[in-house]
Amino acid sequence: MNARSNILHRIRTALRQPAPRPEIPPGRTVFPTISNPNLLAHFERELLALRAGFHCAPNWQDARTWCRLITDQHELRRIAATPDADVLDACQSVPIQTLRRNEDCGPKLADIDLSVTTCDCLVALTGSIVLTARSGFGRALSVLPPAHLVVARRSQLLPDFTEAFQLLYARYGKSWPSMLTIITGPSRTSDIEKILVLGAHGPRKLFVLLLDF
Amino acid sequence: MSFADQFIQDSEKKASDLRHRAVLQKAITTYATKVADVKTHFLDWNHGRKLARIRKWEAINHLDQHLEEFERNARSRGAIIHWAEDGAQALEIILGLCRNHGVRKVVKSKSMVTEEIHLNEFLEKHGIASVESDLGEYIVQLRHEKPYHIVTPVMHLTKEEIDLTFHQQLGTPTGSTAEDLAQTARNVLRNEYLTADMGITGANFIVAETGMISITENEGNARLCSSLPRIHVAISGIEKVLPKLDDLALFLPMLAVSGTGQQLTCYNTMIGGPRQADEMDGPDEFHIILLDNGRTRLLMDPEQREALHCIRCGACLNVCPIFKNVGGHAYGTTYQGPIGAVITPHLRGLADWKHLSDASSLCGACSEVCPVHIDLHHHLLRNRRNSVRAGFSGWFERLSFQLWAMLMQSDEAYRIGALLLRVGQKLSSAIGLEGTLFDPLQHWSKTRAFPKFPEQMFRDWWNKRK
Amino acid sequence: MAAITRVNISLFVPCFVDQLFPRAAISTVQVLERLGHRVEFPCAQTCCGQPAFNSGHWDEARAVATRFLDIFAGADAIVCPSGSCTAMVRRFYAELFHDTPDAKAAAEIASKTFELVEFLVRKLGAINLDASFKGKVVWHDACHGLRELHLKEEPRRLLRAVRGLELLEMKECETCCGFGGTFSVKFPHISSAMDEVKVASIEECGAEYVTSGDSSCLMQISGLLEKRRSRIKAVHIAEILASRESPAF
Repeated sequence: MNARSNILHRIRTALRQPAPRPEIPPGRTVFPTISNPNLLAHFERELLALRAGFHCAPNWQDARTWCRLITDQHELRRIAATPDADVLDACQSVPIQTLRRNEDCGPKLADIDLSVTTCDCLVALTGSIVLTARSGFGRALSVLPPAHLVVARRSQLLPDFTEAFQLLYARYGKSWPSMLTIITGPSRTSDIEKILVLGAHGPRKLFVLLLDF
Repeated sequence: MSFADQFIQDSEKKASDLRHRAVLQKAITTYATKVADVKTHFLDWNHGRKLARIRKWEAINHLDQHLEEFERNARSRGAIIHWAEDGAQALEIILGLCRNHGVRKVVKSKSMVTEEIHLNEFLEKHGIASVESDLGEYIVQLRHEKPYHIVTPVMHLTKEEIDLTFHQQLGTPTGSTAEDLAQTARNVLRNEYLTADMGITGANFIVAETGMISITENEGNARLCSSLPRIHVAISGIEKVLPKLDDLALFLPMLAVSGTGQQLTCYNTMIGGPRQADEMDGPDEFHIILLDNGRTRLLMDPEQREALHCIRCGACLNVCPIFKNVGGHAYGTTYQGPIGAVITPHLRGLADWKHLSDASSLCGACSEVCPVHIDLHHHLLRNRRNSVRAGFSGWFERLSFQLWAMLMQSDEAYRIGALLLRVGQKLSSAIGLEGTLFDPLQHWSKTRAFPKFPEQMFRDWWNKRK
Repeated sequence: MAAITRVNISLFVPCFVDQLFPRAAISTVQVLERLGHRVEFPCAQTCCGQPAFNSGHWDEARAVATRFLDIFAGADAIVCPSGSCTAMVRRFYAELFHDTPDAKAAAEIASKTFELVEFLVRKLGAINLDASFKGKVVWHDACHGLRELHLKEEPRRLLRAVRGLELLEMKECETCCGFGGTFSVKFPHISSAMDEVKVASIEECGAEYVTSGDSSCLMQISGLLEKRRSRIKAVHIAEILASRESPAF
């Protein structure tokens, strides 16, 4: 007998006495449905309310110009970018360090101002970004540096988490990465007298660049 | 001193502390406004509660199956699962891991389960430094205090008090803003993440279907604790199970709304194993400790089993008028407020902890706000009943109710009783007992006037008019 | 709503209302009789068993509650000027008598027991009772009435229909006053702190009167008001609804 078998035995003994299943009225929905035409507006509204930055680019030139603008504006000089086509394309006008797959990027991360990654999807309901240790190029890249920019496609914008999880099941169900994360705004704390402070441990600045083409 | 006596002493002190009351009032009003606002984003919040209750019923009433499924799936991706029957076993497991891997320093994120097993004290005793990385917990650690609230550890402190703590412990200048203080903590703790040998976190949920733990936070410290150190240990109560990954689509918002009045917290992270071969970083080893520590005792009671559905959001604390007046420390145990009062007798013994169930007016506000629809105030009532059945109520109270029952079963006896009360009140007044040690109503009349018995009872009026 | 068919009402008067606040029960009789209903008071009644039940002494509570079931067995409708006692019968008798031979009788009695406000509004549809009461009045949402019987709008509708009455709202209207039965004397310091919060809220809203459907709450609240020599008076809603002229309170 070990702890595992003791605990499982106690559980099975306890469950021999059933607790009645609660009732639930059918046919109601918990979350509002966001129709397709409203997806973008909804996402933008939620993201901005979280004090993250947002830009919807109609073409590459516009996307690159905007990246240049925010890195200048926020003085983000040391930039680490993942080796994804969209990321590299968007960052063409900006001096970056492209991270390489088989290299330990750990030591670099402590010194950079901004990380640029893609994501798996965006969720309009809450203005969230979903990424994993694969799409996010590791665990620390999207949380250690003080700023994070996500480059995403319009087609990645989903209405709610039911669809987001469906996408994750479809993409990773056979082989899950070791980490998935849902990012909803820049890091924050209200521990001190309920006063909101951004950038507690994770990025203080979060940006989403949506390629709408 | 018994836990009950300690509670009376501590709660008495706090109940008359008007400054403390005002600080809590302010914090909770801010929270309540946010919660009311964020609930308007839902189409049907109450339906969400009912759904959440069903999913937790499914999880808890098939707990053995889900835990085995969780173990299987987590193992398949390299996680190492440990089972601990109690806190002592869990601590030994962690110590063993520390010794095997030459761990000198642990960085940890907020976890009530680690409080429950007194992890920090244990590690310190064995020469292992343990640093809290959540801002609130970090402040609590600097002050050598216990967390005040399961979600908001320093709800009871003003910015000035925190400022002073930082000044005394870290040498920062006084007069810092909340921003400065948070920045100081960020800078100090950044170094800890990068140099710690082990990260210890809790888990808000453990997902059976995919063998992942899920961590809900706003700061990002839990993500860093589980990314940078070479070993990650997660400890979770066995009751945190959710059957499916997409259950999180409901539970993450329910937790965020009830916990902090947000639609979602900043980071909700699911971890399913150590770093994989093609991943850039992450711990080399990932250990999950599944802790019982009295939870199976609660499971044994089919009537109260649903208390295991709790997702530790803290909403019941925030709405409880007792909590709002006595604060978190007075409870004297890890889990405060209504949920604490319900489960602590099961986790730590009914005889020692029934007083928390007595210290309630059974107003029901807790049950009303619980996102998983636990009938909290009725469970407090049942704890009282169980306590009486087990023989834990005092002889005086037992005798009083037996006498009362006799009186109430005969309307003649009832009348005599009524007469005696009237006479007693007149006598007491005549002798001038009121306000003295001999005043039978002293527990009432110290702070409130007690009404005079009217000359005529209702039934006399009724009989006269016939 | 319902037409005025004469209802035979059996009055259930909580023990402490009988003893300490008979005016609440007298007013209840007046209100119901004025609406044309027949009220009878089964004199043998004493208590519903709630004090023992809430303290966990369920055997004693059951003994007393069994007597209650016998006394009210033949009633058509049982009306009670107390939310907490009504809730005891309506919601908690099921649990008290669960798996006992009296379970069916308890369910039957529960189905015909009503609190005064809910009886007036939901069963009789009687909103305007031709009452007149001059003053600024605030309603305290007593816990059982609010959370077990779901009374919220109903008392307010009744009060708004009273001539001369100005209905105010207070911030902590739904917060417990701190009575809670034996809780008020077992943990008097906490009970008093809760009382202070409630009274502060009443004072802040500018009310002259505080009213509720539960005399126990009103006893708790007025106990502190009196201690503070406040001018605010506590009065049971039945007394307001029975009032036909400016009261000499």
